[in-house]
Amino acid sequence: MAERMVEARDLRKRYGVGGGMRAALDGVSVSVERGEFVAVLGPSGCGKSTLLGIVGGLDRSYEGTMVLDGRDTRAMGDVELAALRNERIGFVFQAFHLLGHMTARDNVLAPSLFDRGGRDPEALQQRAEQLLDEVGLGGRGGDLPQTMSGGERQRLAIARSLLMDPDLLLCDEPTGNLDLKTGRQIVDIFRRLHQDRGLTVVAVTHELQLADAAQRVVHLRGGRVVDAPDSLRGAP
Amino acid sequence: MSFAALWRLVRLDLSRVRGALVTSGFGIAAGTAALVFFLALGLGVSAVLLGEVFPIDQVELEPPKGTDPGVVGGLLGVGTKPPGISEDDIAALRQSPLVDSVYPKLRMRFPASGHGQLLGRKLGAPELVADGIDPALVADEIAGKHAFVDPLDNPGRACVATKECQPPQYCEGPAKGSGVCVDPVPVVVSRYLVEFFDKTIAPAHGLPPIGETVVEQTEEVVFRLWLGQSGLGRAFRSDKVGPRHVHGRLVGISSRAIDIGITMPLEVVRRWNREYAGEEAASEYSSVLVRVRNNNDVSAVIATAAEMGLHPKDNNARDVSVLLTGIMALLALVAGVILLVSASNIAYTFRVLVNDRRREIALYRALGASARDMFKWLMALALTVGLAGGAVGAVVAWLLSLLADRLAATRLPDFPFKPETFFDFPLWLLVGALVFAALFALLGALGPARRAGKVDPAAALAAL
Repeated sequence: MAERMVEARDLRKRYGVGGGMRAALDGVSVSVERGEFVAVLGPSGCGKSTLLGIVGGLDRSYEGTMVLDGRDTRAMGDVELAALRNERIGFVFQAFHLLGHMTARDNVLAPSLFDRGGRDPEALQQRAEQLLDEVGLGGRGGDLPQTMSGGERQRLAIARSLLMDPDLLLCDEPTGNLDLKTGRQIVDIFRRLHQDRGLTVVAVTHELQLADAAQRVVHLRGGRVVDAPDSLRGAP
Repeated sequence: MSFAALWRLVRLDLSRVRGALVTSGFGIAAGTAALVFFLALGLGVSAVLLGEVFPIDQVELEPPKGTDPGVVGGLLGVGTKPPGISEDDIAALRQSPLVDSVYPKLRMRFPASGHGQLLGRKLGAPELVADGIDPALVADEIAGKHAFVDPLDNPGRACVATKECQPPQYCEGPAKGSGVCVDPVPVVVSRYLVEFFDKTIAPAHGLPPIGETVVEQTEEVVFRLWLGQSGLGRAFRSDKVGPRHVHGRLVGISSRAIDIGITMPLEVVRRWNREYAGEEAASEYSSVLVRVRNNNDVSAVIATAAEMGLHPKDNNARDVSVLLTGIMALLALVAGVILLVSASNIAYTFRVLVNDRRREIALYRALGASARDMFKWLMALALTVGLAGGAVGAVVAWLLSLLADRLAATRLPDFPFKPETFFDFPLWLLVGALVFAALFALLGALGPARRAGKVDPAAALAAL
């Protein structure tokens, strides 16, 4: 396994806007070491989510090189990349993206639908219950997501992201839809996951609360990485 | 993506979007019901028409008719006699690899008449037309207690007159000679004759129609045949051998029987022909029924027979077959159009479904689904809808066929060859209907499923 978990080199991506083109990413190079907690900080529209989509293998229409755990994701086929997402990457989104027609337990188990490794279904069931306990939703496995508060939904989404025991957690504005107190609880969970499990966490955010929990902050402005003194937020 | 996972997603969808899927499945069910109903009807009617009325797996061949001698020739007694079919011709036909079996027929070649009692009335036929056929031809149609075999196969005691025999046996043998006591000669008649009797003869004699129950009604009735003597005169040779009575008994109705007349075991007619018309009349057959191995080989067999101077007695089977095939194709086309419309309905439903679920599809992609997994998911859902719709359609078609048969039995008057059911549901039809239903459903879902595979997960998840 490569020590460098994420290595993005000179990433460029353009969107068609109106009659012209707009650069979402304009030569972004970022690297994340295994076990590192990195926050990508920047205002709305600076390309944070675009960067996360490329890192997570959801977006393949870009220029530049994206290497994940030593493998160039552009060279991977769709099925191979899907397997990588399933087994190695967990996603947490601002809008939670829970499945309203499934119970909390089934939401946590959703990644197992696409398991290609032949994992034991019973073991996965047990793990789902354990994860629900860990995020404070023990006993709520039979509830539907719409009966839960915002904080509970995000904790449920975090449990789902951990089911397949990933190496990398990609979080897109995970506290963006939560109040300050609830957001703090979510940040604590990420911090714990990083410290206790050694999970590599990349979180894009525009909130300093989450950035403060990270070991390192990458500042993004107008689709570019810009310098920002770490001293502003203190050494990790 | 495992089958279990795929089925789990499909099951969830079946309950989530039940209304839309039921609507889509209804179209498939209607199309399948129409397809199965029409094809089963076509097959059922074909089975009767081509199996009993105009059998398609066989052809009856006969030699050319004798030439008309003209007025002068007739006065002078010249002209060609009708040729017969020799044993060599029969053997040659049997050797053809296309032929399954060959059954020669022998027309009774001397004058005869008949009379007997039916339903308490004396009835007679001053001019009797008869032929003889191989008993094997009617073996599957004669299920009564009286077998269709030459009575001489089981001869009784020697006799010179019928009064010496135990009824219903009679004394079979040359006129004024010694013979043996035998059972009455078994006779089969055609449905045409029964229908002719019911529509023409019975009303004239104040008799009720007898229909298919004629065998039961005449089971113990023995009628008499007057060999060598008819209303128009005596047989030439009967001056030497003399006319005589024999006894007959109706044992069944058969599609192999001569249309108007009676049909007896071949060896009986052969023996009587030899007695009253000479050796040639006993050894040259009047026609031959050829059963082919494959229905498609009938034309080839006819061509082979033409080289031997034989030609088909009629082409009704082929004409009816072409007509039925055309009608069935037309009805299947109608059903196909219904299925096509239902496929477009499925296409619409699935297109809406994919549009509504772009974010869900994107989430599945993020959780590890490949584009192909999403394609398979939608196609599996369509397959389930198609199979369920097809199964419902097949059941509906079957129920409709029961209703139609019941209406036909109670509302339609009896007619020749009226079957108990007008429908035939072979297994291949039901399996084929399910396959068709599934194919049309998959066809409808193909476009939306491909779109599901092409959903841009990053864009769909980013859109709030």
